[in-house]
Amino acid sequence: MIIQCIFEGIVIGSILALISMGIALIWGVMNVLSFSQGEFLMIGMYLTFFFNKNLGLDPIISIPFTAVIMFALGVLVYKTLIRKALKGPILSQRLITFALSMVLVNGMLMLVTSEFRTIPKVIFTGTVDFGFLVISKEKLVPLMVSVLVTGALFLFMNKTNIGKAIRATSLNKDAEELVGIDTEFSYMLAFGIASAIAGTAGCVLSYYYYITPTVGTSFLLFGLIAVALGGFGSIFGAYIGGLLMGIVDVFAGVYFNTAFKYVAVCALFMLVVSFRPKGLFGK
Amino acid sequence: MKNYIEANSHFIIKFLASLLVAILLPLFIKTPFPLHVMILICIWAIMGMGWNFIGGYAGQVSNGHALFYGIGAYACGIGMKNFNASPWITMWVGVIISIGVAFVLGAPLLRLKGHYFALATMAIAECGRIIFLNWNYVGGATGVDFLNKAEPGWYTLQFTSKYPYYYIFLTFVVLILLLTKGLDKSKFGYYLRAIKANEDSAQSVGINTSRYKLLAFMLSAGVVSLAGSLYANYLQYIDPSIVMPLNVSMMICLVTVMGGIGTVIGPVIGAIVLTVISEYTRATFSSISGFDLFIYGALIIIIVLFLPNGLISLFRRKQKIRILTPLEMEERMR
Repeated sequence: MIIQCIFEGIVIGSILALISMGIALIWGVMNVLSFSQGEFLMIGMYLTFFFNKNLGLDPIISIPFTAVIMFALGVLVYKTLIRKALKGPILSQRLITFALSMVLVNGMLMLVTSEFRTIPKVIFTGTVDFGFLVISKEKLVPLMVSVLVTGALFLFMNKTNIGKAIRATSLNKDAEELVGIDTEFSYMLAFGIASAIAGTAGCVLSYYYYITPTVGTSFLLFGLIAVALGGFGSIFGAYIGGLLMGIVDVFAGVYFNTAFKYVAVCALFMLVVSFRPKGLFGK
Repeated sequence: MKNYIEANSHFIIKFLASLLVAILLPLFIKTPFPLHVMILICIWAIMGMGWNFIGGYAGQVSNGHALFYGIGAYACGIGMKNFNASPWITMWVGVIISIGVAFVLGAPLLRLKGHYFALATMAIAECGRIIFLNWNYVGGATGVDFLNKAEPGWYTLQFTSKYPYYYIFLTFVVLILLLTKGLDKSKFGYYLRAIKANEDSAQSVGINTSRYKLLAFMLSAGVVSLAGSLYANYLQYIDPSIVMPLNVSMMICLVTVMGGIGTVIGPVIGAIVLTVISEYTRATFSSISGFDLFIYGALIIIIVLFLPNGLISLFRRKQKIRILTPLEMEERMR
C-alpha cells in the first residue's frame, strides 16, 4: 500500500515537476512569478485532445507537435506582453501573467465550453502487477516522459551554449550583456521553453486525466508551491519539490481526507520555509 | 493645526469635493444597478486601502488577503445566523480574529521575502479556503445564508433599499481614507517606506523592522476583514468560493496596483475603475459564458501594461527628481 502510494505520488509529482520547472526557469531568468503556466498546461491538453480527435494521433505522438506550437505561443506571449511588462514593477508583471491566465481560461471556455473531455483511446493501456505494486501503463507514460524531458532540459542548460547563456542571464544580466550575449533572446527562449514544457506536461497528463478549461488552476497552485519548496532559480530543486508535493498529496488523500490535500501540502511548505526561508535548494 | 491645513490644503479641497460628489451622486440615480456598482466600489476601496498598508507602504506583497476577507465575512454570517448578534458587534469580532490570525501567521511568514512571501500567503489562504469548505459548523460548501432570519433595520444592518448600505459603506471608506492619510506622513508610514526601500538599511538605522512589518500586516488584515464583514451584510449569503478564492486575493492587489501602489488615494481610484469595468462587462457580455471575464482580463492587461505605476500617474505632474547640491540643501534648511 505504501509503495503503491509512493508510485502514484511520483506520477502526479512528475507532472507537477514539469510545470514547476517551467515556473522556476522563468523565475530564475527574469524574476517573474508566472501565473499563466497552468493555462499553458491546459492549452497543451486541448491541443492533444484535438490532435487525437481530428487526426487520430496518440498523445505520445503528438508531443513534438504540441511542444512546438506551445513554444511558438510562449514566444508570442513574451514578445507581445512580457517584454513590455518587464520594464514595470515586479508586482505588475505578476498581475499581468494572472490576467493572462484569466483571458486564456475564459477564451478557452468560449471556444470549447466547460464540458469535461477525455481522450478515448490511447496506445498504452492495461496494468502490470508486481504483487506489491500495480502499475497502470497510462500512468507510466507521464513518468517516463517527465524523466526524459527533465534529462533533456538538464543537458540543454548545462552542455549547449544557448543553455549556458540562459543560465548566465539568471546570474547577472548586466555582466552578460557586457560579454555580448543577447539577453532579450535568452528571455524569449526561456519563456518559450517553459511554455513548451508545460504543453508537454499537458500532453502526458491527458493520458489519464480529464480535460476542462479550469484544469490548470490546481496544478498551477501546487506547481508554484513546489518551486518555492525547491528554492529560487534551482531547476533541480523545482523537480524535487514537484515530486515531494505529489507524494504528500497522495498520502494525505489516501490516509486522511482528499479535501485536506491542500492543507497537508501547505503544512509541508510552511515547515520547510520556516527552517529554510529560501527553499530546500535555494542559495 | 493651522499649519497642517495649510500644508494639506490641496488634499483637503480635493477630498471634500469628491466627498460631496460621492454623497450627492446617488440622489440622481433611479435604477438599482449603478448604485450596486457604487456599493461594490466602496468595498473594494476599503480592501485596496487595507492591503496597501502591507503591500504598498511596507512593500511586502501578500497574495493571500482573501483569508482575512473570508474571516470578516464569516464572523458576521455566523454571528447573525447562529447567535442573532448584531453585525455592528460581530464585525469587530471579525477584525479582532483577523488581527489575531495575522499576529500568529506574521511571525513565520514575514521572515520570507519577495516571491516567497507571496507564495506562502497564497498557500495559507488556500488552506483557509479548504478548511472553511470542509467545516460543517460554518456550512461547508453550501455556505451561510442569513437573510431569512433577520428583520431589516439598523440592528441587523439589513435594508430593503440600497441607499443605506451605500452611505454606511461610504462612511467606512472615508474613515479608512483618513486613517491612511494620517499614517501616510507619520513616523509609522516613513518606517514602512524605509522597510520597503531597503530592509537591511532600515534595520541598521534602528527601526525594528519585524515589529513594524507585523504591525502593518495586522492593520491591513483588520481593515480587509472589515470589508469582508460589510460585503457579507450586503450580500447576506456567503460561501468559501465567493469570499476566499485566489481571485479575490489577486484582485485586492490589482485594485491597489491599478490605482497607484503606496499612495493614499490610489486604491480608491483603482477600485472605481476596476469595479466599473468588471460589473459593466459582466452586465453587457454575460450572454456567452466566459466572454465577460475574457474582456475583463484583457482590459486589466492593457491598463497594467501601459500604466505600470497606476492610474494615479496620469494625474500626477511629472516630478523632477534630482539630487540637491550641498549649497541648495543649505538654502532649503534656512
